[in-house]
Amino acid sequence: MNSESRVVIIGAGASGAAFAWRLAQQGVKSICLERGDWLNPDDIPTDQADWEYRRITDFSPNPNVRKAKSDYPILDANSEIKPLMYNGVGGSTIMWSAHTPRFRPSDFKINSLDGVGFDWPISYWDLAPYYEINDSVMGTSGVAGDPGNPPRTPRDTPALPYGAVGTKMANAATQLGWHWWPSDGNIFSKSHDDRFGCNNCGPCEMGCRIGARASVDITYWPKAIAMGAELILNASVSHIEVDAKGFANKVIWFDQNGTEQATSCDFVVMAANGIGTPRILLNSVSNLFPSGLGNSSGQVGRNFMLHPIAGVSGVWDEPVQSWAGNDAFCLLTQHFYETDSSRDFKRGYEMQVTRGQGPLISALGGFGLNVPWGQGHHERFDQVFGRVATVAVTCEDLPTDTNFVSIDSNVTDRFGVPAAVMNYELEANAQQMKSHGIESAKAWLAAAGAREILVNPLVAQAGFHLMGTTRMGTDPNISVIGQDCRAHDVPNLLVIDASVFASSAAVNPTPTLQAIALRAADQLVKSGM
Amino acid sequence: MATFAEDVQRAFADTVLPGNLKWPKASEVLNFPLHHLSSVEISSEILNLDIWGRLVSASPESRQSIGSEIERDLSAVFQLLLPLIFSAYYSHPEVLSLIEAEHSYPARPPMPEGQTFILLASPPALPEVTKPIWRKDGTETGEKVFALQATDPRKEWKLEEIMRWHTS
Repeated sequence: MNSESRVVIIGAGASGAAFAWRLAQQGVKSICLERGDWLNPDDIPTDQADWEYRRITDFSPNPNVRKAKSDYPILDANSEIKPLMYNGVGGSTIMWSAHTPRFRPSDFKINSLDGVGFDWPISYWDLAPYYEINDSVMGTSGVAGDPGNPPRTPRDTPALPYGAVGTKMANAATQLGWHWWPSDGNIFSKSHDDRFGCNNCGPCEMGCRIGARASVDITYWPKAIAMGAELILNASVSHIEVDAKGFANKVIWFDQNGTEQATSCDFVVMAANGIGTPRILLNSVSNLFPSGLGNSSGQVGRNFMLHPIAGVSGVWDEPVQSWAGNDAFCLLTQHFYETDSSRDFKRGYEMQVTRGQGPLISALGGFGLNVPWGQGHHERFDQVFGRVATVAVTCEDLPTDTNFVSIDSNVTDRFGVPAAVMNYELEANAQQMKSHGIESAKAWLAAAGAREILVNPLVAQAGFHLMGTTRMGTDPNISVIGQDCRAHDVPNLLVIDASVFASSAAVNPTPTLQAIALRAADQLVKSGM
Repeated sequence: MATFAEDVQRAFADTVLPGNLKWPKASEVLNFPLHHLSSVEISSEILNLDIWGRLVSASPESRQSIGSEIERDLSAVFQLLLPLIFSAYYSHPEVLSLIEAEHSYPARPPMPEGQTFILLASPPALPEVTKPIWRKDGTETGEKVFALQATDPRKEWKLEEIMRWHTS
């Protein structure tokens, strides 16, 4: 089967959905090829007795554990941090905590300000309006007025409840004289528009059965489809073909029966995340692009950034009901966010207060709780269950040539398309930063009255922020795309996911990549296409 | 390929969840063979190892060291069995009732009822906002917005105003 569309988007996740919606608003129709399907909220197992077991098996955010039909293999033996993502309509916003801090202005100018990494060719101010538009479509709880960030509009609903854990940690931050602020999140704390308010059930990363937590399958996509955007499901893209002049003109994909399909187009828009996007580009080899599409610089797949995260847990003598409320955030401090010349590293980290887990993951000693099996198991379970909170120390990662995504044709998905390979090692700056962050987290928890403090120096199952693999820049020798998200080599090829990030900041990337996607759609329309 | 015999399942479960004065050991609440284990296939080479027989016949006191041996020498099997058995135990109604009594954790899945913050203390007051503290980025717009925020740090901003900050 052959089909045609002016604009073909690859991937129906956070950025693809935002892009399709913004185009449709301006009368431009698009087709989105998505390798997965819609997730029926009734299939989210948080109402089942074995919900925690499902979380670590077939409902795991790690595709190598989950092994769903829509997943592709990601070889991670060469990476200290393992991949987390979801393939389906909504992308990784399906398995998502929905914590939505923004990049700070300095995050876009790290070379000018601190002499490390690379500056973006755009600034915070280019994205500020798009952050706002995105917040309004996704729906945001929180409190405007954080002095640690530029102003933003009032949030749709108040911040999510702090609970006992958040209250202790907020008071401790105040006592220490540190910046802190309630976290912004794409979760309604009370009913708003046509969505329910959060009932504080806890495991947001498993998906939200009531839609209190946003995901783009319930925010952007219904609106985009109503305006004419089209989704093709179970469409696994293999590669992109080019014409004799080097323009992308056809997307080749497999349907769920394994039949090869082709869709002709004027523009190809990559929105397949920081691993999926370089995988497809590197698989798109032709005479004109022998090392992969858009890869004359050799930079496709390079500069792979994750956020190294340390988990520092505090255990209190008294119960703090740590299973209640969003488990991944309630408040944060950016007290150590910027470069300080007295430290042995550049840039900085954010610390966010996460809460505890249910009985099974606690019993298994998740999050470094040191719960043994056998003798002493029940005694230790009683000591920690419901009495723990974890500070996640999220470190800014710097781009390096030696951290990269590649492909391996010896291992393929079920259609014979080569697997992605993660090659990642913490660089020295991040190691030093993380060590500093662990000490800060310990001090914070101690000030909050924690009796025992446990350190997980690197959370391995934390590769959810996949960034930098088709870097944005002005110099085509060291970057892949320009400020308008068009590839230097292939002007009708766009990349709009976090692959474009020139720096990683120390915060969750989703609002930033969505703001970039909205801006890229406007720029494409403005260009006259 | 087959799975573990009932007596092996019971012995392993009681090894990893031995119980104490408050908590039941695994075999006091679980029915064997475990439904959770029915679909787990183990190679006959592993099933035929004599360590399983030693585990079954060992006294409760000596099972801990045999369990450690299994964890060390048959790590993949151990890591497969442990969450399956823990899951069966920690989702069992009797165990959940004990957790509820001991820790106030509701004896049900998190949905659809959700959770209630029964221990919520008075929320802390937000930090006093007197001036912006973010790092300027060296741009004209950054300077301008910082100055505006410093002039009125509690101002409620409208989208239209933010749209006017910067045009590129």
